Amino acid sequence: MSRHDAKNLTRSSRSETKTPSRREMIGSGALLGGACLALLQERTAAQSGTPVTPLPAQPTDYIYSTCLQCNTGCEIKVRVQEGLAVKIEGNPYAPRTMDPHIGWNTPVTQATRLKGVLCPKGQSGIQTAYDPYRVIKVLKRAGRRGEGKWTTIAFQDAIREICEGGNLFPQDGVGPVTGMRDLYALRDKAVFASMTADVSSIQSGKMTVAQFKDKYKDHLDKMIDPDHPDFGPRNNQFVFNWGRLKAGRQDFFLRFVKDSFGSTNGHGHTTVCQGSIYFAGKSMSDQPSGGSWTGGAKAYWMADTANAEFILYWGANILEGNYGPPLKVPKITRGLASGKLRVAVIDPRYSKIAAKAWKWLPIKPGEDAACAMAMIQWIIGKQRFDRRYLENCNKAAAAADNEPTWSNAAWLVKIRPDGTAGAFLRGSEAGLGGDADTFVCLRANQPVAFKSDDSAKAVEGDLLVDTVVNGIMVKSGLRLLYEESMRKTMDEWAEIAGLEPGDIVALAEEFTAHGKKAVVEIHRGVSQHTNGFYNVLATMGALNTLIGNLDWKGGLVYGGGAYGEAGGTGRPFQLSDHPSKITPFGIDIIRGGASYEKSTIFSGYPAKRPWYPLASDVYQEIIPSAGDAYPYPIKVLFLYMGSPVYALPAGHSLIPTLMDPGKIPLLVCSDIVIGETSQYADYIFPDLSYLERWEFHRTHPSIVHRVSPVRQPVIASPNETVKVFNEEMPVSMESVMLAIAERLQLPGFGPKGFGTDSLSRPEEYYLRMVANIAFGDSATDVCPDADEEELRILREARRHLPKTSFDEAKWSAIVGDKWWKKVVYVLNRGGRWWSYNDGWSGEQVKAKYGKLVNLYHEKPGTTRNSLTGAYMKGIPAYLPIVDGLGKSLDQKNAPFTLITHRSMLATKSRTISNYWLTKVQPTNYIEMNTYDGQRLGLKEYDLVRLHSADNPKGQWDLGSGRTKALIGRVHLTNRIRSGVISFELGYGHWAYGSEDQTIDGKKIAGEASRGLGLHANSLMVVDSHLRSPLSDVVGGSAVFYDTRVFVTKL
Amino acid sequence: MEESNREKSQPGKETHRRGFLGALAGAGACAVAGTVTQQALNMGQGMAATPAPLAEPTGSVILRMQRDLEESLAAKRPIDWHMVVDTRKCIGCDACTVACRAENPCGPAGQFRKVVQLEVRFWPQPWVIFKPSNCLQCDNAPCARAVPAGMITRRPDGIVEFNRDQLKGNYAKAAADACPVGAIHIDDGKTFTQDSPRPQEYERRSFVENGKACSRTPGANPLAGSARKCTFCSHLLDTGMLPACVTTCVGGAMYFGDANNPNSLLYEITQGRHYFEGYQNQGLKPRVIYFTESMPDTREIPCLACHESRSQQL
Repeated sequence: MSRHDAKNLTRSSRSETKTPSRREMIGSGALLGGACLALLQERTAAQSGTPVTPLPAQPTDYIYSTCLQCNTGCEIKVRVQEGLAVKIEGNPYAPRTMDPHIGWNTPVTQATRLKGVLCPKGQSGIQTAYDPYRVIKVLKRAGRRGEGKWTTIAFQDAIREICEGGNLFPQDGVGPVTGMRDLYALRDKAVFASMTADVSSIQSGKMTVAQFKDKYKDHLDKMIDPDHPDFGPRNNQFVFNWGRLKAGRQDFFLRFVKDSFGSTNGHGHTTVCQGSIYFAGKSMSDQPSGGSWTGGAKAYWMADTANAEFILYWGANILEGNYGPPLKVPKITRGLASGKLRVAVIDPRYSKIAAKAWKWLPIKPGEDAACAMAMIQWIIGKQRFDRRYLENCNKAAAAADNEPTWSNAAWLVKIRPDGTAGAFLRGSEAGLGGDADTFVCLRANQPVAFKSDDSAKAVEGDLLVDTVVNGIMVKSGLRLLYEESMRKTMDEWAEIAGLEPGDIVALAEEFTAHGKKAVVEIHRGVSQHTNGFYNVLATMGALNTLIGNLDWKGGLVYGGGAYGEAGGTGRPFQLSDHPSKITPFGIDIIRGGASYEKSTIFSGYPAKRPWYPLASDVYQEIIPSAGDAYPYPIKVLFLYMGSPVYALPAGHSLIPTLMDPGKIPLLVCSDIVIGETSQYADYIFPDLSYLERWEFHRTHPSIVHRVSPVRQPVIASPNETVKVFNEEMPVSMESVMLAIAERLQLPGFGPKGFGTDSLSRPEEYYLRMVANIAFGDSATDVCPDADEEELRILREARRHLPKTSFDEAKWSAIVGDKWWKKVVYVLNRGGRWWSYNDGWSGEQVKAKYGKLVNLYHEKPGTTRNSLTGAYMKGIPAYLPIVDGLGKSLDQKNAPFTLITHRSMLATKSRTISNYWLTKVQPTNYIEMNTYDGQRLGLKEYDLVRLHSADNPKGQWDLGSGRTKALIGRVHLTNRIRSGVISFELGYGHWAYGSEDQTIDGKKIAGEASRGLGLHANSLMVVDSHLRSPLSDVVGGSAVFYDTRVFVTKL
Repeated sequence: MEESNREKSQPGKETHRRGFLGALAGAGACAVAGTVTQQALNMGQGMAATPAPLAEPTGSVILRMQRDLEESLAAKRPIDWHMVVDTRKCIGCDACTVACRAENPCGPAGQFRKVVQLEVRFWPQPWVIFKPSNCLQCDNAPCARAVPAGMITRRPDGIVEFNRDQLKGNYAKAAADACPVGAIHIDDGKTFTQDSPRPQEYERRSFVENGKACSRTPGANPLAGSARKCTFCSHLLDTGMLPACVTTCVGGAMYFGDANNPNSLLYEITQGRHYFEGYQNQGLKPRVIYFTESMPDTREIPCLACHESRSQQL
């Protein structure tokens, strides 16, 4: 044993740990105190009789932070040894990783030896950070895009080139590139505000384009196209697109993109995950306001897992993916083992939760709404719905029944002459008066007017109304739903879904046999279809609303939310403070939330590309829109922590655009490796891994507690150190933005970034957010001060960090003396959480949704599809699988439907570097039903090639003549429906260290093991009209599960 | 030799151990491995009966076990560590597998544990069971009998220890071959990133195993050629912490404690339970036992499912 080892293993002097007070430990017995510890060491020595005695863990061995190996964002405690992260545990303070979690006020000295649960990916995160293929210096491409040749470039040189543009890539022969300075065209926030108002006037017909041009004749050179003022200024030609981004960093980035630079084009990736769930959820939560529907949150609901008696997991791979195993699994397994919980599973694939389920219904992919309609038909027909709940039309009626929420099931909807449902009947139309938010129901054969949020006058309505009021044909919301469900018989619905009618009835019966303690929980399997939006409304929406389980213990919950880290009433820091904040305007590049008909480029149907009046963050639309220059061309695209080529279905269809400097003149990526998408970049700026940086992961719907985990630096970054605003820091996405802001003198950053206070380094933003969390929800909620021992722990636990990552003097000065000790209290625990028992109040959850939930959706019901020109449906319904133009897909009668799945051992594009995970599972397989395999003459692990109508060669075309064949091995199993095949996401890489790259003329050899397996997204349907990934043009979801494929034995 | 070593180190051992097993036997529950036939498997035995649910521990199981652990360490009485695996709650996620290899640095050559996943083909619905598998810390350890005396010993608390400096080469192989559960591997001292563009330091961190310092320091690598296996994380136990696989278990399937402590959760949950004792026909007397009841609505877990699976390990 070397002396080095001896030193690290037997630290001779330790300061005494504080003797814990049992009283302070909430909900626990006691942990070891100092006295016991002495006993223990004695004992150890006697037993082992060897000179090397393991030392007891110390609080200073750990830094608490937040995982980002998937989007669950579990709270973690990372053991640091010899300056390195060596082991990641779950954080016992947090509801995601300890069930039930210990009290937040438990001294950290008492929590040292306690560990929460954590999934295998979370534990392997060390290898995401310590990846030998990390990019640690700025790279500029040396060859053509995607050629794999790079030169390192000084950080400030790269910033200069990006800002000033010029002939940066002579090898392309396309001439000078437009830089960021040129795009920072319109700068005056007053002009922004004035133009925003006038563009609105143009859209509503109150101003002509000619009048606009005349009014702003001095600014027309700053517009993308003066003939289309609604495109906005040239600032919008800078597009920032992120993959995985959470609060804090998102606030910082959008401050740069929108508030300071003035581009409207900051877009996320929501639709590749579960866009149609989010936007169906938004529609469910929209509230009436001035005749339209607003305020709905891009959010959704999940089960109160800990208290439900029956959960129907629908297209939700709850034990392998989802949000997330450490949070949900302990509650499920405990519930199942004790017999208090019963679960059923609807999924074409027999997922691990199916292995624990009462029933598994292997539905045909994409036919989810058929099963939902059958259940709805049975539930309404048998009157198994919660009548008392559904009859409540407004807040007062709900309150009288102790119901936190109410629905519009009894509200009357006007019927168009063609029989379709449109807008709600208003009081004025019924001759009852009121304003645009006065609605009508029927009671005792009389129309009754009411307002949704009226808490004084309770109004209840009849549920199955079909009548004429004041000469207007109307039906109630529930009536419309029932009629949709009666379009086919139970047997016909079952036939479409590929299920047995008896099984569907059994599900409906069970679902309605537990009062409010039953719940339908859905996920991607329901939403990532062309009919995803309506599948979600029918399942998460209609079924749960029918039993009125919202906000009830064991029912459907919205989540406890997070503390407002960005500021707000009473909080010490307002992160939105900005000396010259711009509010950008203009149609964005994905036409999110925009009306085609009101735009200056309306030219009938179909539109050139879809408009998304009900959605935003449509990931698969950004690069194709740049490719089609619709509605306008872009100049600079930044991609942050996302790999659309790998992650999107039909991601290969983006590659020609990414490779074309004519369509995307400047492509800048922030990445920790050279990935499947960043390999096409002009510049790659190394980012910090999640163990080296700040972020605020917040929460998910199924966490009933208020939670604010903090992501903070745990280890030193390997990245080069750069100097911006005279501050040294490892290169990161923030440092790139700060450097551009410094060079272009953007307001909102630098020594006077907050007006008076400085925003010259990331900690000046994020530590103030931690202080806001320390403040809590009110002045009586403010967190205690850390004592001297806790201050010592903070300091010593970070003794390995360089000044660029941890500088106590600087940190304490940022928040000031009053807040520093409170910030330490939060950082030492890795965040702040409600105590366990605060999750519920009586028979309901404490944090409630507490509003109208829409069963009928007026906004979609009165909005036209920009491609077909037809009105969208306002009622949950079954819709067949179609392309953008509403036509059925031509898939050349291919015999298998291709779906995807996840195990707990991989997160899509970004865990192949984790050797501990690939050691358990080195590759993936094409899962195929045993019967299908036999029919094709296939044996276990036979090699096959997959191909489809859109990809007859069965390969990835990566550009520059590179291809990767879609060849994989079959795993024959009974765990999948016949006629369906599935592959696990996360394997089959062709970048991310799997293939060679050349940097400064030197070859960096890739690891072939990272390329094992198959990533078959390039088989997925390319929309024949749009030439881009197939989409749900209502809810925005990128479509993963509606492709038919051929399987050829090799 | 192994037997006498045990008696020498802790004469009162057997009494205490019998006390624990007696509690199980007294409830009349002892399923014997290897007695369920393939025929029984295919017939889907137990399909009709929904077993009455047994009481599940409430509150934080981790906290309770931590308290039990500390109580046992502080008490002046012999310790008898046991691990109980409730396969009903195992979801086959391999969190324990990864936690183990991070806690007890394992290289590419092998690992201390794995989760066996078996697809049992009950028509028309498939059924899958998951079973974590590690060193059983047998009282009657086949590995110890396969090598010269002193190379494999047992601590007074029952943990079987390898003498790493001796247990190399053919001895390592003999020990590994003797283990019926395949729990022993021979380390080659390598790291995952040693041939990569940037070998990583964390893989060479120092650690303690069986009371001895270890690391993968290049050039003087004591791990190369050594037989290694699960130690119940004795370096953690000795400092008052639970084994890594237990605390990380996402499904709450792993229990750990001192069978001599009648106040412990481990003692409590084993009362009146059906359980598997692996390879009972070989008389191993293991310290890792498995619960056998099924979840309500599912079938009884058959012994042969796991035993058959040894040849089908993933």
